[in-house]
Amino acid sequence: MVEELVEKLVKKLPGVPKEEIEKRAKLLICEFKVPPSEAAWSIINYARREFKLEAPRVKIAELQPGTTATVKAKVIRLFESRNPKVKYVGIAGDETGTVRFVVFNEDIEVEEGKVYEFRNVGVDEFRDRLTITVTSLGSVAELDEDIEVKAREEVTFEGAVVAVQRNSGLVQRCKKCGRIANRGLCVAHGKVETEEALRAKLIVDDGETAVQAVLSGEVLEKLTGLTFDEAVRIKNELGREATYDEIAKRLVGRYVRLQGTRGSYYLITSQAEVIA
Amino acid sequence: MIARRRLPAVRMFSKEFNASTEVVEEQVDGSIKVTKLLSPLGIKFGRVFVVGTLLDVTEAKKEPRILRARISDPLGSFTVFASAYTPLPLAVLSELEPPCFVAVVARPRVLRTPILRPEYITPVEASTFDRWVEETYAHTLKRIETFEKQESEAAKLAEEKYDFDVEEFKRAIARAKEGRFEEPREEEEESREAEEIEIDMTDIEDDFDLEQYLLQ
Repeated sequence: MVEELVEKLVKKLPGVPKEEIEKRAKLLICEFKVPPSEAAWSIINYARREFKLEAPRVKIAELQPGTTATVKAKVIRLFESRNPKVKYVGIAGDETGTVRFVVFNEDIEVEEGKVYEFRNVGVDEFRDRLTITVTSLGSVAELDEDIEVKAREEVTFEGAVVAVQRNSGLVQRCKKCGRIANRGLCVAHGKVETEEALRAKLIVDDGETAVQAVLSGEVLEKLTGLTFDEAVRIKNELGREATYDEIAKRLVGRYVRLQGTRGSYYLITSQAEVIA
Repeated sequence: MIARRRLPAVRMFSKEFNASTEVVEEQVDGSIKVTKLLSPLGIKFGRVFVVGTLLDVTEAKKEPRILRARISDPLGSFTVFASAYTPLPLAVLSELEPPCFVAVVARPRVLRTPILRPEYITPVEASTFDRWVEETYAHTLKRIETFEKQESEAAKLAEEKYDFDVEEFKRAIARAKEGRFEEPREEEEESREAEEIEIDMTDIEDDFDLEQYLLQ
């Protein structure tokens, strides 16, 4: 039990001599009957303080789940979390890739577009996405520099449209940031003025892989043959849901070729055509 | 970009689908159960993509309203049931005029025989149908190849549970690809004329589609 814990901690505390960790672990677990999970936390804190540790500086592409790291990245996108314990969830990037980040500490402030050093963050894989977590052990320091963020990978995918997800059709976008703002509420800006826009989230499936793609504006108009003005007419006559139905009727079951860039959650489509 | 948790929409001809009478329930993410069928070619599938010809739409039940649709492909036909639990397909089926080409994205269920519970039904072009036949032929051949190797647990289970004539099926799909059709056999004609199946709403599940919910 102690052995297992020591092995795990050696990974998390690079630069700390194994004997020190072993000594502390035996003291807590064997002598003071501390449960291993509590002991782990305590040893990490102790070691970091004693050895003034800073987790190794790495690039995003080098991040390994299960370790602690320090990474310099630009905040690309910020979301307000639905979880009351979490302050921010967002996406940060450097020239080697992008990563999701989670901030628990209420005192930390970050802004989209700025570059920060995320220090002593925990690295995990959560729901298939690499995530760095800023806890009380970590910190975020704003840097006065700009870094280049890796350009998204260009991808092409062919398959049949098998689903149209919600928030497709004629939707309301926040005038300040462009996010979908149903009923005039933007997750980032609160109550806002909205503008109407045509967009769709599709699932395109080739029988083995299902891809989530997002299409908007002209790209969607060209694919469906449904213009923005026609969509507005449908909304006025039959309601907003009818614009969803119209997109579904025109697209589901058709084979399409999509070209675009690989986003964190979607294929961001720049070109789309029906092929059968 | 890749929706890893989502069940892929399997391409399958009616002959293989209608023989898939074994139901397999799998646990996903703890307590969520997903209903899949085991095909005689050793694939467990929970979603199907079909393109075929809408032959007829009949009222299976008046109150609550249930429509039965028959959709043909080169090897036979699929049975689709639409109800208030599938509002979009129900609306579309009420408006379509057979014969016409339709695409169906559906969850497979066994209700005395394998049937399709549609998520979407949409009118499509002849070119869509042609492409689907080509694609389904290719996917089916791959499935046959994998099945004959008998390496997976599902393949072995299918071999055990089913008495499926793979050779005859290979011939049938080759004919389908060439555009030649099956001559209906006598027994098939008779069973079609058999009494209408009594459909009850309790037969049609109203399971909350948790998968959709998780994806949102």
